[in-house]
Amino acid sequence: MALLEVSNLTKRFGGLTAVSDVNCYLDQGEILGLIGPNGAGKTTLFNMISGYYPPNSGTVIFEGKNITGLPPHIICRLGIARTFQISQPFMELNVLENAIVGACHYARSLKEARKEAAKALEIVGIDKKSELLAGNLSTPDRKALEFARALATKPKLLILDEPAAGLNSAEVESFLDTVINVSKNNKLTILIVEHVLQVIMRLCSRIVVLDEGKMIAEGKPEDIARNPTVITAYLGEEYVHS
Amino acid sequence: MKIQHFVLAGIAVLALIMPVFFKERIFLTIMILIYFYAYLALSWNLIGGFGGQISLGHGIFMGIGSYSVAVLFINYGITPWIGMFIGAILSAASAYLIGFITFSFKIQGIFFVVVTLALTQICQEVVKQIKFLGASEGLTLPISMGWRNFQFSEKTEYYYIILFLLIAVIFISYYIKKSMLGYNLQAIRENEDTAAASGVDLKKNKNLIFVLSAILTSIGATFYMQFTFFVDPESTVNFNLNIYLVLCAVIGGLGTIMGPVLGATFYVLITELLRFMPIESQKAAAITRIIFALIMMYTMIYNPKGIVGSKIFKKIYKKYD
Repeated sequence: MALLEVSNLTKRFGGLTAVSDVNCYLDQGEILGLIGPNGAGKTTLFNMISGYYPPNSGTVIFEGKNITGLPPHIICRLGIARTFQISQPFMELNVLENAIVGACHYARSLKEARKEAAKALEIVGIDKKSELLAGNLSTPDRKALEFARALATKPKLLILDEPAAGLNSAEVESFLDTVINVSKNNKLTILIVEHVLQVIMRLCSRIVVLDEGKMIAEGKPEDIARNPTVITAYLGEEYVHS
Repeated sequence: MKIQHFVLAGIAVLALIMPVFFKERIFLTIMILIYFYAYLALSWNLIGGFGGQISLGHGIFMGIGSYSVAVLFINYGITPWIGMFIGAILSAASAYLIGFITFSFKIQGIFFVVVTLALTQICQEVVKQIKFLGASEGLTLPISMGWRNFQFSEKTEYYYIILFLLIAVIFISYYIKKSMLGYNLQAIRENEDTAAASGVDLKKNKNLIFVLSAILTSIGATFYMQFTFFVDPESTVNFNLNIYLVLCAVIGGLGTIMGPVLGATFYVLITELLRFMPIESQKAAAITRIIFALIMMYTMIYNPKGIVGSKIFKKIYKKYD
């Protein structure tokens, strides 16, 4: 049974159908990539999975449980964590405290929350900066903190929203190493929405492509890169080679 | 850290022995008022500062706390200590109801402010219509001194009671701030989306702190009732008190613990000072409002973190570090 099953998910905003009848699934331990041109509906799709938008129709089933339309904090407690594209840490709290918030929903005491938070910081590699105020961090550090906060919630499925945005290629490499380590050591399943090809190609075992709210392709990275429908969606028909 | 502890301990001792040395009524009364407003401001600060929800509805809980004891004592002779307990329960229930309705809507912030304000106004008008609650004239407690009736002829007992309440609310604030609830609330204040994504139950946490704030406010109102022997819709359930509570907290430093205390001290001292000047009370009230409006504007523009966040304060603090 797949860890996450999305069936016929649809979201309309007034007259605009942002996501139309999307079906996809994630198996335990996979790293699935979700790509598509801007406006394709990627963020809407995963805001529905993580509980920020209720879908108009369709279901999201996680570990066999129907989680469609549940509020974000419940979905987090059930084991799905997400990061934000534009990282939004708790500015006035320091790095460690940011992660502590993530641990509060299961920790039985503040001491335990602090321990778990410190672990998450260590995994991501920002434990040396635990006293710094989140508002004073550099972009790569903020992204790392975002990641650590999500890890601190002890998720089974982690959804990353354009985690490489704003990073230079060296920073992206180091980020990739962290993600690969984390997914292996913690047996995490990961759904990653990304534009940066370097990330998708190296990380993902499978890719789903959205365009204008519909799923237009699904498969292995090498196949997707050659798929004419995908190339058309991104670059236009002229770029399709035989 | 050590020096700060000594200073605090020193202040506490001073506060405890003050009534022994300064028996003049006026002095004790001013201290009682300072402690009272500080207590109220700190109670409000729990939802306004920690919770980040600006409530203009605390007049409702003031009203419940006052009227409960008054009605129960005047009509049934029930001791105000029990009346206080009942008032606290009623306030808790009201807060829970208000919170339940408002926090369920995704429109927060300003919606909450407006709803609480409107509710206060409605309650004020409703009370004015009810003869049983004294309508516009209000209720006056029959004099019957003694601990059982929570009435004292000297100021001393009142002084110690409100001092105790103030110290209690300071400890409660401090404890919450350092607890998981405190972290959750700060997360909610900073960014609700991120907080929800981290597993924080927005509604439950907001409601919890709102109910706690209401209970404490209600208890404070009971004290004030027993101190002044009088309650009426205009002065108790009213808009002005609401605003001044918020002012105290904001001017002093929203969300901090020392802030509301400083703000309240400031407020009481200025109002009392005006009382000594040869100005008619109408003008004095107007002047108070103007002064505080100006201070508020200054705070918002130059000093948003309140006195506690200001450079002068930080300099004084650093000298002792």
